[in-house]
Amino acid sequence: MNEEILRIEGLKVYFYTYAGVVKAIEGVNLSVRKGECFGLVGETGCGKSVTMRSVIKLVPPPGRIVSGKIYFEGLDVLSLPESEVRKLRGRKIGFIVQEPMSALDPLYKVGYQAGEPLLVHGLVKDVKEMWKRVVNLFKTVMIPEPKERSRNYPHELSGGMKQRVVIATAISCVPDLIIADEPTTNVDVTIQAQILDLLRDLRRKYGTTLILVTHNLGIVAEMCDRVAVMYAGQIVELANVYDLFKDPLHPYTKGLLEAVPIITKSREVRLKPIPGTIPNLIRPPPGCRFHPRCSLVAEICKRERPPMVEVKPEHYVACWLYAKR
Amino acid sequence: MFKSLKERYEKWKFKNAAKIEEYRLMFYAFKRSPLSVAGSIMVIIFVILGVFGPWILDGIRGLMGFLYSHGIIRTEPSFNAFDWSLDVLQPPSWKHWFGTDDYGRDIFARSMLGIQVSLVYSLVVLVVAIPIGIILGLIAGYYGGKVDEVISRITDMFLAFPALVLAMAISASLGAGLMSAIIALITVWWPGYVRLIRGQVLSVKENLYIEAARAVGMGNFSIIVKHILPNVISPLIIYTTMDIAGVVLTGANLSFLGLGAQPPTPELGRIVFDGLDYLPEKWWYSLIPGFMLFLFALGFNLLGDGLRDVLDPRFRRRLEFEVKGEKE
Repeated sequence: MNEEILRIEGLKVYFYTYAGVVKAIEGVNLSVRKGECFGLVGETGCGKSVTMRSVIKLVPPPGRIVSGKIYFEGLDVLSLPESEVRKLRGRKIGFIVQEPMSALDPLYKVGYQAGEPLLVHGLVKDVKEMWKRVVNLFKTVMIPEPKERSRNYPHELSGGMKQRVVIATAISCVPDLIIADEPTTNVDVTIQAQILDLLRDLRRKYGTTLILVTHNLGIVAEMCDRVAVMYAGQIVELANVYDLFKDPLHPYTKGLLEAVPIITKSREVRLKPIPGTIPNLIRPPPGCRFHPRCSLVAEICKRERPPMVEVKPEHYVACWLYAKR
Repeated sequence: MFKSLKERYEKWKFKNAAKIEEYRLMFYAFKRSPLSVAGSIMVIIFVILGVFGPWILDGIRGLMGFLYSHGIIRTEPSFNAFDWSLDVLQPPSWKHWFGTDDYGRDIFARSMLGIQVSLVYSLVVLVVAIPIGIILGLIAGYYGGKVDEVISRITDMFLAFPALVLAMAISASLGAGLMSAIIALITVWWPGYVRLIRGQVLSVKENLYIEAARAVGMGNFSIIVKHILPNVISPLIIYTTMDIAGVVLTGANLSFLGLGAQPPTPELGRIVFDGLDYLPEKWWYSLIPGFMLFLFALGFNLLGDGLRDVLDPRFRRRLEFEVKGEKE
């Protein structure tokens, strides 16, 4: 279980916009173990998606990976030429994109699109064989009447069905790692539950590693083994899911958990937001990026970036409260 | 054998049910608008005249000769398109349906042949200009950055001149003639297509399915060919249909200014130009070929308009509800 499948070291991604350089990712370190479900949580715009896109070298322009190393199964992804990275995409790393509604080309049958990775990576002889595989694939993702549905066009399917097709596309080549980038946005709660069940089943079936990017803490608690919390382009806390929810260390994580509304409490105290807003990443606050919103801020927080320390076994946090000065 | 054929048809029908439904909706949308039906009929007539013009003329001549020799009609129409005769500047009559020109040639016959010339060169121009436009537009739109800058600025340079003025300059410097007119038209025509395709590509490539295609490991080339090109093709079809009229009119303009087809090639614009000296007394000389030119352009424009509705999926969806509503 402890074998590493993905390691990210000191990743920095900057976006060169007209307004200035947006330091979207500033030194992210993490490692994902084979077979686990790894959660990446944080607010919108904190760099979760960008981190994951860096793994398959698809940072949208004007973003650029400035420095850092990404190892996937021991391969240094960032130094590979484009043609080699393409062999990873879809084949070894499946990517479930956000928003299933627009992730399918309206001009092709959904079955063809789900089977396209097989064709691209030469895993099937011809289109005929691809269609056969696609029907099985649709069965795997539990699409009813797989044969008929595979002949449909995207506009004929519902949101939940489309999301299943997108998942089918991602798993078509049986990748070693699946990155699910907010797989449940834009679908309603019942379908959300079905999609999560499906992902869990797939993981059990193939033993695939899953990275789940989300801002929904409920999903994380339900699905993941280990969690990393991101804030403003940095990882602030990394722990297994039980420790994180039971004993959050970083003030931001605490704030996040308190911001989950509790239905049994009275209306006034039900929801406790974190004060302030996400910092401007063109001129991020010096030192700890969370310090302007932190209630426990000290002098050193404003000057120096806190190091990542292992407070308890397997529980890392980047905060001056726990680091030795 | 017969049974298996039917079976196969049923299977095909089942497999492509969505497509068939879509085509039926397209047809319905088209049929609904009388203008586009009229436009397409006009286009069909002109295309037939353009392709088979000389033979149709021969056929009419034969038929009229037959009717005359059997005494059914009293005068035999003359369809001499090229020979001089003494019937100079005759008004329309049974002998000369559209009248004659200053050399005594029959304007009906010359107009029929002129359609062919117009159609051929507009097709040649578009067949050359559109692929150039598609390739450059796809490259500029997809890759963006410096490539886009270079291609777009060159395109802008061509578009900075009024099309007709540039075409006149080129065709005058190459020496008046049909071939140089075609070259001139191609030169001024491709930038429009680069612009159109580039703009479409810019919006299509932002779609998530392009990103998704990249995430499954497709290369740039296959993404362009398989996912971008098919998605920009329908505006291209509409634009092209409307554009045929534009090419024909610009070509006629060149001829009208004496730079296109040279005599004795019959070309509609040229005939209009030649007849200008005789207006307004000998009105048929300019006006009738001019009117045919007008119908030609109108037909293609109406067809393009109709196609725009038909090829717009949002419009079709709206229609679908309408159709289903009617059934209930």
